[in-house]
Parts: sequence; C-alpha cells; structure tokens
Amino acid sequence: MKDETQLTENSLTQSPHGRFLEHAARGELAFQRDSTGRAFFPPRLIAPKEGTDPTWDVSVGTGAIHSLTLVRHKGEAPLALAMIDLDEGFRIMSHVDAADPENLRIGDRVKVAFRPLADGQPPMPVFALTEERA
Amino acid sequence: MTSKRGSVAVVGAAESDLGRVADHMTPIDLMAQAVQRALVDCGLRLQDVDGLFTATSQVRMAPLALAEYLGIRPSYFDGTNIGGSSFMSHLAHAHAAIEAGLCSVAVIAYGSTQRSVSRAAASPREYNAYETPYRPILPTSAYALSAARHMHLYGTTREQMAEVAVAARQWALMNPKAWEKEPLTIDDVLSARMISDPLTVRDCCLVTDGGGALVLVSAEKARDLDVTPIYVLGHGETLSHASISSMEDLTVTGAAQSGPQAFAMAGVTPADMDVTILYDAFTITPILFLEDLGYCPKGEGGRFVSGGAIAPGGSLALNTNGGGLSYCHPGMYGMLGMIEAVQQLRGRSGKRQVDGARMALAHGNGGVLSSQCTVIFGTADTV
Repeated sequence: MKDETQLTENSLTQSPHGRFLEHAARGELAFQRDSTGRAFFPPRLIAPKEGTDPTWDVSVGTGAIHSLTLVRHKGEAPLALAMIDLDEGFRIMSHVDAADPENLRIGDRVKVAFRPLADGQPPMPVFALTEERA
Repeated sequence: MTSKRGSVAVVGAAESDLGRVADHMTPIDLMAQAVQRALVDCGLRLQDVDGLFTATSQVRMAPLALAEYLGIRPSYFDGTNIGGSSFMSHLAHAHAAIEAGLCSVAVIAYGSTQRSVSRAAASPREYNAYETPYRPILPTSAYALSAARHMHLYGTTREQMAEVAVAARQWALMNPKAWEKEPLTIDDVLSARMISDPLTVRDCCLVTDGGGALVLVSAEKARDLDVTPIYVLGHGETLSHASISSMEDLTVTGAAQSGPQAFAMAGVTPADMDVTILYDAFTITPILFLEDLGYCPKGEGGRFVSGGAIAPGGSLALNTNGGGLSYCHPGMYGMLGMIEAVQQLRGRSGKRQVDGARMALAHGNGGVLSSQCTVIFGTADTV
C-alpha cells in the first residue's frame, strides 16, 4: 500500500486530539499547560496567548459544576449538560450522570469517569457527583 | 489610526421580504431585492456601487454570488462571516475603506431563507470533538449555560428574562412587519416548552426568512444626495471565542470591549442614546449587553429590564422593532437591527417611532456570544 502520510523529519506523528483520545482510552483526562504552568483546554499544538510548545498533564479528575443546563431532546429524558471546572484550573463541557438531574446545582463537586457517548465511539469524560448533598 | 467620527453616512436602508417568503426564493434573491430598495431609497444606481459587503450562512462565498447576481465588479469587498454581528463589522470595515479611498459607494447586504428551508439546512453546524458528542442543542444550550451562570451569580430570574420577551412582543405589535401578531405574557414565556433550562421556546428568537441592505457613502457625497443621511459616529468590534466551552467568563461578553470602543469614538455615553438595539437571540442576551455596554452595572441587567422598563412607554426604548424575539430573525439578525436604528433616526418608524430620536446604538452578537460589534448612529445635528 502507498504511504500517503509522507512524513518528513519535522512532521508530527500524533494530533492533539489523537493524544487526548489515547489518554481517554486509558481512563485519563489529559489537558495541557503553558510555560507558566497555566492549564488550558481543549488541546492545541501551541499554547494560546504564548505561542510556545504546551506540556501535557493528566487531571486528578475532580472539580465542580461551573454552569448547567438540562437539554430537552424531543422524546428523551433531560440530559444534564454542564461546564465543569477541573481543580487544575481548566474547564470542559461534559455530562453529569445523575438519577435526578433536576437536583444538580452549580457548585456541586464532581469526579470524572469515561464512557462512549454513542455506539461505536471512543470513551469520553463524563462526571458524577462525588458526595451526597444534605 | 481609527476611522473618523461622522465621516461616512448611511443614505439607503431597506428590508427585503420578511417572515416566510415566496417558495423557491433564494438568499441572494432577498439580498438583491433589499439592495434595489436601498438604492432607490437614496437615488443611487447599481452602477455606482463599487464596494460590496455581504455574508449569509447559506452561501459559502456570498460576495461572489451577489456580485454575479447584481452584475457588478466591485473593486472592494468583504465577506467576513462572524455570525449575526457580521454586518456591524462590515459597516466598520466599509467606513475604513471609504476613508481610505478604496470604494465610494458601499453596499452591505444580507438574505436568508432559513424558515423556508429549515434552520438545520440553513445553518449546518461544524463538528467539535469536545462538544458535539455531548449533544448540546446549539446555539440554545450555550446561551442557557450563560443564563444559568448569570442567575447563579446575580440572582437573575426567569421572570426577568421573560420581561425581555414580553417587551419585545409589545413593540412588535406596533410594527406591521413583525412576525408575531398576538400579545404575550410573562406566564406564557415561563410555561412554554423548555428547550434547554432555563430557556423555553419563548426565550428563543424566531426562525424566519428575511434580509436587508444598507448603502454607505462619505459625508460629502451624502450631502449631494436628496436624503436624510444618518451618520456613523462610532463603532467597535471584537472576537472572544468560537465555542461556548472556551468563553472565559460566561457572564461577560466582548461587548464590554466593543461598547467602550464605540462610545469613545463617538464621544458619547449610553445615556445619550434615544434608541438602543441589542441583539436578542435569547432573552438573556439584552441583559448581558445592557451590563457590558454600560447601561447598568454588571449583574443588574435582570433588575434593569423589570417592571416594563424596556417596553413601550418604559425608561429605555429598546429593540423598538420587536427584535429577533418577535419581529424577525433570519439567523443573522444584525442587519435588521441596524436598519431599525437608521429608520428611527430618520423618523420613519411609524407607530413605534421614538419622538425626536437623534442617536441610536445597534449592537450585534454572533456565534455563541462569540463576536460582538457595536455601532452608534446619529442625525446631522449630532455630528
């Protein structure tokens, strides 16, 4: 088979999203830091505002709900879509899996887990509450 | 160097057909219709047009398609597409181009048939590996995330957001071209079908067809025409993110940058505005823009719009055409907001006319609170 990649010495062998998925498949939430240590997301080839090479890190996986909406797809149960602030200082969109999504609140503490979001898709980070609320 | 306050003026402004247009009409048909009406409005001819500014979600290379349709070969053009605020941005760019001598008669045009062909067909969304798999209903869920955060931080309520929809409806009932013809109550908004909490379908803008055009020339040229020129006093624009996940603060928009730029250029303040047009894609957006543009402090927007303050007879004449919520929302509403600002200053807004309006602000929003562009217009005595 013809090699269509034609990689040169300077070509990258993996994209930022490819690396993210590789971590996710291992149950790791990967993110990046710039030269000052500031965390950012989503993964990029260069650090925003700096233009320097980012470094990769793996999140502890804990954080809090920054904002939340229940998405009402017709004919389906409400879907808890949230912006999650991870404790390392970056934010991602995700789901919060909960039996009673109506009771989720901004500020609730959450922890990451991984599952495919649709049949045949790679695992992606989702969240669940870390503690019962009083 | 910034453009000079009052050195260009809008001399022609027109809507295309709106609402649900004739079967098989195209976005470019509507652009051309509006361009013709706007040129008739100011007594200029198609052959005079040498600057073309246009965007629509339905045509990949809108300046090409419109230039072909009109049969013109513009020497200057701009197809910047940053969503609903594109036309405010076009106006700012046309201002600079006219000052630089790159064109003399600039036409800005928009057309959309998103009601006829469906929103999904008119505005297909790009795949985002970090958002799409989570199935947000975009753009609504993005604005819902902003609204929920605003409610959490500032105690903004669903009733306050509903006030925005109710006021828009009251204005729309005075606009014969408005899509909505029936009154609306706070309860109607609150009890409507929930799309993405806290936003119900009545917190969301309409899905209509529509379009419009503006003709912009130098102040000198405007004085040679038999028109009431409406001068461009100031503008500001900025981009802050593309995806809602990357918005730095869900409750602070780029209007906090574009607004002060526009006010500084114009040398005026929010209190000087007789008419204010704020892009109302969702009921939360005018609340955010009132704060970010300096009409009220951050967090006070919900209280600011309460008690009929932005309805007809209230303390602020806001979205006097009925806005994207009740008048017309073809997907990229900014063009129609500017047309209303211009018509108000020309005294052509009929029953909803704000008496003696001399200055108007039109603020555009694009994407998911992503692009923010502010324009301030004034009558001749404000220059």
